[in-house]
Amino acid sequence: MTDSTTPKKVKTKGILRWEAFTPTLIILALIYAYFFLFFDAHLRRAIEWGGYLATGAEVNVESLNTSFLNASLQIKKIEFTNAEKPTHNMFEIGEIRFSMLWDALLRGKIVINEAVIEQVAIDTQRKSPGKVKPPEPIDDSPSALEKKGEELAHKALEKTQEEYSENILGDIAAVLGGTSSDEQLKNIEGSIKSKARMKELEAAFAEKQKAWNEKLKSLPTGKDFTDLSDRLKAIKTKDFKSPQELQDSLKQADAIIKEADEKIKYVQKTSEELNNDVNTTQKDLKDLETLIQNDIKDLEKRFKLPKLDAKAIAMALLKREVSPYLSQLQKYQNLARKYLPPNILNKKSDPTDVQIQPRARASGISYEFGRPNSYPFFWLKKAALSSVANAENPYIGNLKGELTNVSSSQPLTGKPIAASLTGNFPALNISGIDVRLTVDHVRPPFKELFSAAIGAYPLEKKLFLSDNNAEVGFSKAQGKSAVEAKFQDDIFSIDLQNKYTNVDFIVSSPNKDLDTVLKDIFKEISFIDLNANGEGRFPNVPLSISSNLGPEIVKGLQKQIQAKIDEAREKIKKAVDEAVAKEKQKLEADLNKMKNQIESEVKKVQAQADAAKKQAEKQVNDTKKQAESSAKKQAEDQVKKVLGNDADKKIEDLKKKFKF
Amino acid sequence: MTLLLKQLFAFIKLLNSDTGHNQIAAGLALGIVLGFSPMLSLQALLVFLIAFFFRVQLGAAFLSAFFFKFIAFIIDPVADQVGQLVLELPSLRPLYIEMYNMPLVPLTRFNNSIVMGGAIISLLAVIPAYFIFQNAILKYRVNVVAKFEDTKFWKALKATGFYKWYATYKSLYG
Repeated sequence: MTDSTTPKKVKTKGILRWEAFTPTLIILALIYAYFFLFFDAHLRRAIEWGGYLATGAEVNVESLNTSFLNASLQIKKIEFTNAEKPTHNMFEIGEIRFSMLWDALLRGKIVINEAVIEQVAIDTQRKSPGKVKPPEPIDDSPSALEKKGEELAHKALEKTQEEYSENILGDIAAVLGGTSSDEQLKNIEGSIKSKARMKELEAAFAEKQKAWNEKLKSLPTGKDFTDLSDRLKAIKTKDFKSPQELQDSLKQADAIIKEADEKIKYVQKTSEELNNDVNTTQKDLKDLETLIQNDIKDLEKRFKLPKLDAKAIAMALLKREVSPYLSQLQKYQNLARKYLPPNILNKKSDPTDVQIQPRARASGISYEFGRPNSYPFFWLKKAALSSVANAENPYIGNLKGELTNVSSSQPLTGKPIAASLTGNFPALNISGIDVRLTVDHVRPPFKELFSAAIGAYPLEKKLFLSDNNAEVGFSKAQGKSAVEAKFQDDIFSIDLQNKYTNVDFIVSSPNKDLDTVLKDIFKEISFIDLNANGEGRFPNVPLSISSNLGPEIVKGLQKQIQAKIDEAREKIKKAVDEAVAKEKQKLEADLNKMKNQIESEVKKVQAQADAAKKQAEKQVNDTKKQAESSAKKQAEDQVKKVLGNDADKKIEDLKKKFKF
Repeated sequence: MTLLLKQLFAFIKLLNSDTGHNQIAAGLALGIVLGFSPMLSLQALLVFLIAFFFRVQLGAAFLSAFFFKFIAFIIDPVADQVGQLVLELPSLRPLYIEMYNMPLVPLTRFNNSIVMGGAIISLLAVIPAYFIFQNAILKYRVNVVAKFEDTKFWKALKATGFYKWYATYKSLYG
C-alpha cells in the first residue's frame, strides 16, 4: 500500500543548465545556415549599396564568395558606373581576392599575405545604363565648416577671376583698331585725383607761407642785438673801488648773457619748427608723385591699354582650366586646417573654440606589447594588380602594379608602404602610366613621396577662351602629365607638369586685325605647357602657375602692338603732366624759395645772437682778469711797503728758503 | 526585450521565494564582471556562457550588469589609473608580451588600461560581492518577505478565491 499523503519529491536540479544546450545548438545551426546560404548574397548587396552611396552611381558585383575556414574573400567583376555617362563604366575590376591569416585573426589582428586585383578596364560599355543617384536636395542650413569652406573656395575663385579677369584680347583688338582715347583725354581733368590733391597742397602752402612769415617776423632783429651790445658797453669793467662793485658788474654781464642765450634758443626752436614744416610739405609733394603715377595707371586701365605681361596673358587664357583646381585646393587646405591634429599644423589651439560636449567614455591607453616580427593590428603584405589587354575587351589595360606592406605599425614590421603601377590602355591611346608611392614611417624623419606620370593621352576639343572678341582653344591634342609630391617635416612640395603636343589650335576673332595677329602667333606655337609648383608648411602651400602660352603670345604681340601701346601710354602721361605737373613745379619752386629765405634769415639772426653772446662772455672774462690783476698788484704793494727798500731781495730769500 | 523582462520577473519571483539565493547571488556577482568588461570581448562572452550554461540566475546577472555598467562609467578614471599602473610594471612586461602574442588572449583587450583596470576591480569585487549578496538576500527574506507574509493584508489576500486559483495554476504550470 502506498501512502497517498507522502509529499511529492522535488527533483533537485544540477549545477548545469542542461535545458539551455538544445536552444544553443539550434541557434548555432541557424547562424551556420545563414552564413552558408545568405551571407555572401547579403554582403554583395551591401557592397553594391555602399558603392552606390559613395560614388553616386550604380555599382555592380557579379559574384562574391567568402570562406570561413580560409578567412578569404573573392569578388568577381565589380563595375563602377560613370555618373556622367551612365551607359559606360568609369572602370571595372575583373577580380579581387584575398585571404586573411587565421593565425593573426586569433590574435585579434588582420594580416593579408597577398591580395590580387586583376583585369582593370576603364570606360567599358555597360549591358544596361547604370542608375545615377539624383542630386541631393539643397540643404538650407549648411554646417559652419561647409559654409566656411564654400566661402573660402568662392573667395579663391573670385580672386583668380579678379586678378586675371582683364579682357586682354578685347583690349588688344581695341588697340589694333587704333586708340580712340584722344578725344577722351581732353575731358579727363575732373577725374584726376592728383589734380585735386595739388589744389589742396597749394592752399595749404599759402597758409603755411603766411604762418612762416609771421614766425620770421617774431625772430629777434639786429636792433635787439645792438641794444644788448650797448648795455654791455655801459657796464663798468675796471677801477673797481670795492669787491661789491665788481660783483655787481659781473651780475649785470651774466644777465645779458642769459638774455642772449634765450634769444638763441628761440631762434633754434623756430628754425626747427620751420624745417619740420618744410619737410612735411616736401613729403606731401613726393606723395603727390605717387598719386600721379596711380592716375596714369588708372587712365591706362580706363582706356584699356593691355599689359603685355606674360603671366597675366597666360592666366587670362587658362583661367577656366585653373580656377576650379585653385578653388578645390583652397577647400582642401581649409579642411586640413580644421581637421589635422594641431601638432601637424603647429598651431596654437584656440580656447574659445571649445564646445560643450557630454563627457565621452574615456578610451584609455592601449599598450603595444609587440616584439620584432610580430603582427601589427593590420598588415596587408602585398596586393598585386595585373591586367592584360585582349581582343575580347579592348578597354582592359596592360597594367602591372603592387602595393606592399600597408600596416598599422611600420616600426613593428620595419617596412614602409610602397606602391607602384605601370602600364597602358592601348585602345584608349593612353600610354606610359607610371605611379609610385612611398610612405615611410619606420623611423623619423617620416616622409611621403608620390610621383605619377602619364606618357601620352588624347585630349578632345577644349576652348580656353570663348567670348565676343575671340575664340582660342584646340580641337585635339596629345597630353603628357607628371606630378611629383613630397611631404617631410611638415613641408609639402608639389611639382606638376603638363604638356600638350600635336595641338590643332582653334583661333578666330570677328576683329580681322586680331584674327590675323592671333593666327600668326599660334602658327608659331608647337606645344602648350602648363606647370604648377609650390612648397610650404602644410596646408599653406602657395602654388605658382606658369605656361609657355603667355611668353609666346607676348612675343607675337610685341611685334604688332607694343609701339601702339607705348604711344597711347605717352599720351596719357602727357595729359596728366599737363594737368598737374606745371602747378607741381611752381609749388616746388615756391617751396624751395621759401626754404632758402627761411634758412638765410635764421642763419643771419643766429650769427648775430652768437656774436652778442660771445661779446658778453669776453667782457665778463676781461672784467674778471682785470679785477684779479689789480687785486694782485695791490697786495704786492702792501708787502713791499712792510718789508722796506730791499723788499725784492727779501722775497727772493724767502722763496729759496721755502724752496719755491 | 521579452527575454530580459521574463528574466527580470523570474528574478523578482525567485527573490521572494524560499529557494535559489545562491543562484541570485552568483548572478548578481557575475553581473559585476559583465558590467566592467567591454561588450565585445572574450571575457564578456566567457562570463555570459558561464551564466547561461550554469544554473545562475540570468535576470539577476543582466540587472547587475546594467547597473554596474553605470558604475564602471563613473569610475573609468580610477580604472584607467589602476590599468596603467599594472600594465607599466616592468616585471610583468615579459608576461604581457607573451600574452599579447598568444592566440585568443589579445581578444580580451587586456592591453587597454581601462579594460585591465576594470577587470582588476571587478575580479577583486566578485567574491566578496557574492557573499554580501547571499547574506543580503537571506536577510531580505527574513526581515521583509516573512514580515509581509505575516500581515493581515497578505493573509486576507491568501484567503480569496483568486489567490487559490493562482496557487493551483502555479502548482500545475510553474
